[in-house]
Amino acid sequence: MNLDEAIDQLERFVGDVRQSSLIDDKPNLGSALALRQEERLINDGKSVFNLVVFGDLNDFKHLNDEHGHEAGDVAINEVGKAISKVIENLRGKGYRLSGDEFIILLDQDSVGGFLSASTSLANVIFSYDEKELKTSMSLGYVVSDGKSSLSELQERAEVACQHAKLQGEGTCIEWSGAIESNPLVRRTARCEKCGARISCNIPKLSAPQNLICCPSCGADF
Amino acid sequence: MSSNQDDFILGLPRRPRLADASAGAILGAIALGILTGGVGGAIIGGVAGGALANQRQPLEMAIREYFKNQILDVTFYYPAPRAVKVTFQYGANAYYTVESILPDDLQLTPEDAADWLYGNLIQQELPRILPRLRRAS
Repeated sequence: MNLDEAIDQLERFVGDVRQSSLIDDKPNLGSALALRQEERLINDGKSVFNLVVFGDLNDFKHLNDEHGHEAGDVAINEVGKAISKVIENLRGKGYRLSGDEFIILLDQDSVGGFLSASTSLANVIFSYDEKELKTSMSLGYVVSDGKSSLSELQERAEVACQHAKLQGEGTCIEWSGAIESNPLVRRTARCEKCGARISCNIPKLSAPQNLICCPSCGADF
Repeated sequence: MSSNQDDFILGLPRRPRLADASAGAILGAIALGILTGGVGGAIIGGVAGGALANQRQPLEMAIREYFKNQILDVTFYYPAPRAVKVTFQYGANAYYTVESILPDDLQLTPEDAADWLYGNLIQQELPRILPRLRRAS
């Protein structure tokens, strides 16, 4: 192999690695790095997307604890496929942010289509080790005001998502002034039954003072 | 390549050699970072020396290739020093995790351990559940 051929091969490998880093290793969605690339376009007002959806799996910790982390990985994989299906006709883009958190970018004209298609994310069923398992996703979204950065929009969509979580499985809520006036507060507690340390962000006005149920062992208090 | 006693460890098949891998398997292994491009390119190009071509395939590459030949899709691969777990898809939304664990009393070199984990996975663990999964799907 001469030097030119070696450089050519090296460039191809670097290109492959760069491409791989933009795709998440579990669902076939964009990675957090790919989202950061889109962020630059959004912040510069050059992106075609002006609607940000934040999605978070319900009871993911319970699924992991009950059926193992491999089952959790499969759940993420299946949700990724479901997201891809939801957005394929809406010309949106899906990303896995980290853990069980997902971001979807859309044009606001497609919000109606998204809301009707997103009901499929409320009930993602799969078989794992010959057992039928189910996972669901709560969603919050925000329409860009044309001034806010992606980080700010993402934060609002996440707050809306946390409100959606309180309303039940698979709910999708738009961020609004009412949500803004009910910010998330951090609550931490320890389950008396299984000893698990529970920590979560919940809307201030509806936040209970004490733990009411344990997402780890399922105990009610 | 012919099979002989060297291709078995404690009655289980060892990992195939690099020279026995298809070009597709080598390219797949390069894409997943299992093989370096130089080694893979040398094997595909047929310029690898005997020592290199005679090396056993990396465990992940050997397992992925075996599952591929069984028309099963490896979804996740979880390596550990004395075990390997593979989550594979056998139906539209159906997955199973199969595991190969080296017994505590079995002390082997890393290469022999990888061979044993491979052989145990494909000859003991997978055949134990695959017929049932195939009937169900």
